[in-house]
Amino acid sequence: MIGHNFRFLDAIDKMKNAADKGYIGNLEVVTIEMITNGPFAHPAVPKPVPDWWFDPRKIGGGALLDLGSHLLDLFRFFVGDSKMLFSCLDHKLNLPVEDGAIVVLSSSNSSAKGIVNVGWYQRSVFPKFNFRLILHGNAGLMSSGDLMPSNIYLHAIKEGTKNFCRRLIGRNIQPLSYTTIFGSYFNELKYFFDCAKRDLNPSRGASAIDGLRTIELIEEAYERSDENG
Amino acid sequence: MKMGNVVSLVQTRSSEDEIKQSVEKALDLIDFERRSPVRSVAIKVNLCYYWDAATGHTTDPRVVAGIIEYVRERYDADTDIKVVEADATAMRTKYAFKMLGYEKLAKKMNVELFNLSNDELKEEKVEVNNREIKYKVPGSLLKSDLLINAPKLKIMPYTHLTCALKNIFGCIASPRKIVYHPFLDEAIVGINKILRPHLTIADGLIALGSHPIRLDLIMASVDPFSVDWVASQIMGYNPSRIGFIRIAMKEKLGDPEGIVTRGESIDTFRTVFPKQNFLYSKLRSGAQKRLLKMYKKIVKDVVPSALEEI
Repeated sequence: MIGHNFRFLDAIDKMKNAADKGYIGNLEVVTIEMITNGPFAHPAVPKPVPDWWFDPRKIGGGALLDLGSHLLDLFRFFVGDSKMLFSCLDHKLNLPVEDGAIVVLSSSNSSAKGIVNVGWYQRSVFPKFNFRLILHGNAGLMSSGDLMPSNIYLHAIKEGTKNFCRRLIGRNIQPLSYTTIFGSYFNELKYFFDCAKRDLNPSRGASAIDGLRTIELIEEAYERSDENG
Repeated sequence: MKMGNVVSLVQTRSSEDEIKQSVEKALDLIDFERRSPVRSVAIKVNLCYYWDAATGHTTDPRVVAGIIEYVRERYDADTDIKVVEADATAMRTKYAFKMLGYEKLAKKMNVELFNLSNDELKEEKVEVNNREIKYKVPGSLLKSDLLINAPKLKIMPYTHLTCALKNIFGCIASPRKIVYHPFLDEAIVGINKILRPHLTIADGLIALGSHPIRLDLIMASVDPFSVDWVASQIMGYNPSRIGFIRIAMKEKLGDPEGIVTRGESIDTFRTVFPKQNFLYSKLRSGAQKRLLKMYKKIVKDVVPSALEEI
């Protein structure tokens, strides 16, 4: 299983289940975006961004490879095998790798198309993170914005109180449920170990083939971007 | 009236030509007197982190371009001009110059970009508020014929405001300036006793309050203390209640008596500046930390290091 933890965000989990059950009809357009500071997010305890982030030979790519790989995986998670239609890479920060990318994809098996918009260029202050996924079907739409906590602090208090109560009555807590992004790492690992214990195929996670296909899409996006000039 | 007490406030527009004209106008309003001879010029910008000028955090290269053109026109065209900055705890100047558009500016205007942390350093010590403070000061700044301070107008949690005097603190060559934070107000005043800019031209095109705001403001003065006095009024603070300004007055680094503004009025900018209530954010952050610590102890849940650091 490849570490594509976005599949295990609670909001994504709900959207996947609902889409699979046909709540929005046939999936037609998927919009996914995540614009943050990427490696340049200012840490709470100040320390320099490691030099390797500035070395294209060491990082191999920019925002599309770093964050975009997770978004492309999400696209594939919802629509299956995909083709790259268009890509445009940005260099707003004068770096040797892209700090922003917009790619347009289509499903190999259906009429679904989608846009992935990713960037490192926006000043973002942790723990807020600018991510959303919108599914447009022919029967309706779903947005992660409606399913993720609108106020992360109230969410933390609510989930923290639930865990406190669970602890009081001797039940197992739900680790990291008071966070948004960190909870997905726990969910992912728990799923992996549960599958391993029960000798099941971890089909909800990203397989090595999924990871490879995602990387192939990124390579194609780089090539297409060169063609687009 | 002493020239040092005059602060000009000029409202500008976003085009490079207008910014350049506004820089000139701001300097004309303070009757900036030409020093001579001027063979070397250092322009100290504020590049605290890799955030674009549009975020309100760093000096806009267009303002620096205006300053460079002004210098070239008023002095010899061959004057040696360096745009300078030192590494900070979390920022490396070589990357900030590249990411924030200064490499392009240097190429276009044929000026040198210089990392003060790589300079020949001079150990200096100074007493402020009965505290002896040691600094490693870049030698080239001490020798510069014209040191131009080009700060950004913005708020900062530790000091409330950061503008002219705080930007000189950024000249300290050691990247780990965080070691001065326990006595930051004194450290700001101390370095300003050693390094005295001849001219301050503050970038308030996009200023930073509780959020970035387009003020389209250029401020100029030969006295950084006066700039900070006026800047704190624009930001809605009582300047005499700002720690480092109070210490600067006590240490005779500046005198609010007789500060006058020319050009636009302070109110033009004060009324639109988004004020920040630091008391509320400090209380909120303190409460968050305590709650998280208590939660970890009682519920025994995992707390990621990134959250513990907040």
